[in-house]
Amino acid sequence: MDSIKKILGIVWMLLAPALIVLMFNQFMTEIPALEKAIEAGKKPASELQSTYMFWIITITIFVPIAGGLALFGFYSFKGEYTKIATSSAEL
Amino acid sequence: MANSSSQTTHTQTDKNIWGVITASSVGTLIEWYDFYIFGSLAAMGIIGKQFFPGDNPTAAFLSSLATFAAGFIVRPFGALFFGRLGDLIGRKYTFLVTLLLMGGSTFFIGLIPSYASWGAFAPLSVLILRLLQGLALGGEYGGAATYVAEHAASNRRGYFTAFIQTTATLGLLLSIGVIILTQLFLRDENAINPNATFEEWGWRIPFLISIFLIIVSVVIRMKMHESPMFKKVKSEGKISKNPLKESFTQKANLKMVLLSLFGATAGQGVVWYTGQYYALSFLNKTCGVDSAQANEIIMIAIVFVTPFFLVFGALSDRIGRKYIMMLGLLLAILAYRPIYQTMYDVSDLTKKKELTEQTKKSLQAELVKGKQDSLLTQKVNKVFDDGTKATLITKTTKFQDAAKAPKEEKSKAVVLSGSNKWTMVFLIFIQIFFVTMVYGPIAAFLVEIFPTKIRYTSMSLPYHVGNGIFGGLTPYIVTRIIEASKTAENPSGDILSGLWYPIGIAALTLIIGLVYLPSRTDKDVTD
Repeated sequence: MDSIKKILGIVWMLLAPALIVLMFNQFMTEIPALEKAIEAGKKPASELQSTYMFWIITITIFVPIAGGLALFGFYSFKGEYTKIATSSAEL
Repeated sequence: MANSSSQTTHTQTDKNIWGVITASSVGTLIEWYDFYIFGSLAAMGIIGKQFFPGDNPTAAFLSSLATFAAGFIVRPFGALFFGRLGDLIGRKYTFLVTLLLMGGSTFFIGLIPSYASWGAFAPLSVLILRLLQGLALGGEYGGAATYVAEHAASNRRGYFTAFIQTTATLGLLLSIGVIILTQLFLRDENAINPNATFEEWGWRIPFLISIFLIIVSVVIRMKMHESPMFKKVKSEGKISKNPLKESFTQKANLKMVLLSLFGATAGQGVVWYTGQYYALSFLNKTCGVDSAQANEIIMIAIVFVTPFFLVFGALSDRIGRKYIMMLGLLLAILAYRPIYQTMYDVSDLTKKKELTEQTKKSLQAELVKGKQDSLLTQKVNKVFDDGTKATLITKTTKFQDAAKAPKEEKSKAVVLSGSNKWTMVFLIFIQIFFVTMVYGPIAAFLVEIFPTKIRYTSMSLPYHVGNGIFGGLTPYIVTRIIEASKTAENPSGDILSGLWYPIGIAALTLIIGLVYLPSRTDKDVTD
């Protein structure tokens, strides 16, 4: 189980930046496409505001959480979760 | 004699714990009620109509969901602020403050004028009050769960804390119940839109009556005593000088905070909000089920499923917390897509045969209030062979300025027949059953993983990041993913695409939980 935790630690450390890149990529793709659709009159202008709002909220919140996942992965890789504390004294 | 003395002590302890559970649960339930009225009304589209510009209903809906989400986003900050206070001055006074803050914010939301009369101040005021609600709730839950757990016997901790776990669902039930009753009271069957009065001002009533509920709860809580474990830690001079620093800068504690978040609360949060919140939004907005019936369906399911919180809480005292929570996550991951597809199919009018001879049409023309624009409302009532009824409303606004193109708004309200309605109740029941599995034992799990002196702070943060952010943002993110899947070829988008969000988060938690979480239950939480 310890070796699985180490391997998964690497997975979490890689997954965290991958999620951040994915979010930014989606944001950078969606906004220009929406601007074009609004220019063409296919979508209302107010949608741009709500899309910006969605991505600003999502990126602001989930980037630090992804950082937490990377840290969790790092601890896992370093073997910090090999033994889970059972009392305050062990913490 | 010894037996008699022990029996008396046992009875006194039991009496004491039930008093503790009642005082904690009533207050927490009312806080959840306050918090969810906003969400229920946002899911019904009423908050969007009242407080946001009405030129685009989807944008207004998303804006109201964003404000709804803001309340969730600040929950972790409330957890940190009030958690710190709870670990420094005690559990009792801290969650008395959170109760007052929540009640006041809710009451004032009910007084805010609409966007039409107050302009941008309206959504801004709603946002500020919503943030205060989120802060208050962030401080409340950890305190209540800690308070009950610190009074409970170790072999019944899961069972007793499960009562606190029922409060979120019962708070949702109460909020929906009050909304339904208000709708029924104000309903006018002869009007084109029978819920017009409710939509105009009646929605304020559930917010305003909160003030009475809060007064009752404050009176009950004033009689409570401080947690015995906190008193012990205090008398021994072991109170943490800086619980925030101890919780998050000491690696040993931070490790457990991260494990609790990614291995338990994140997945639990998305399962909770998919089963109880997104389900309501899906019924109402995607399936087009009449809002009163959608609320009724959720209410019936909640009534039948709520006892399972206690069942799984008690079971976790016997077999451990971990595997119950993990099984709940696994079942949710496997079942979500089939469940939502069936929900859509049950209400899909294209799959039903219309009884055309019973179709009724009506047309009404009127001037838009305060303007010279005219509003044409066409209402078509349809009946289908399985007993389902549908009202299709098309509102066309013709502007006085002839250069402006007329604006058309379509809506439908499907009232499902008996068997279809019960199928829907069952599908919601299953989803909330998963919630009872993952949520029932989690308070005891979190209490046992952190020591007394930093418990309020440490357990509150992963709980509120998991529930408030991963969970609370579920309806917002799911709706956004579906919107993004809409194309010119497929204007309705992929209605199930949004489910990948809760499925993905639940899968992440399942893997981490299975590999890393301990399966033991900690008998001693006095450390």
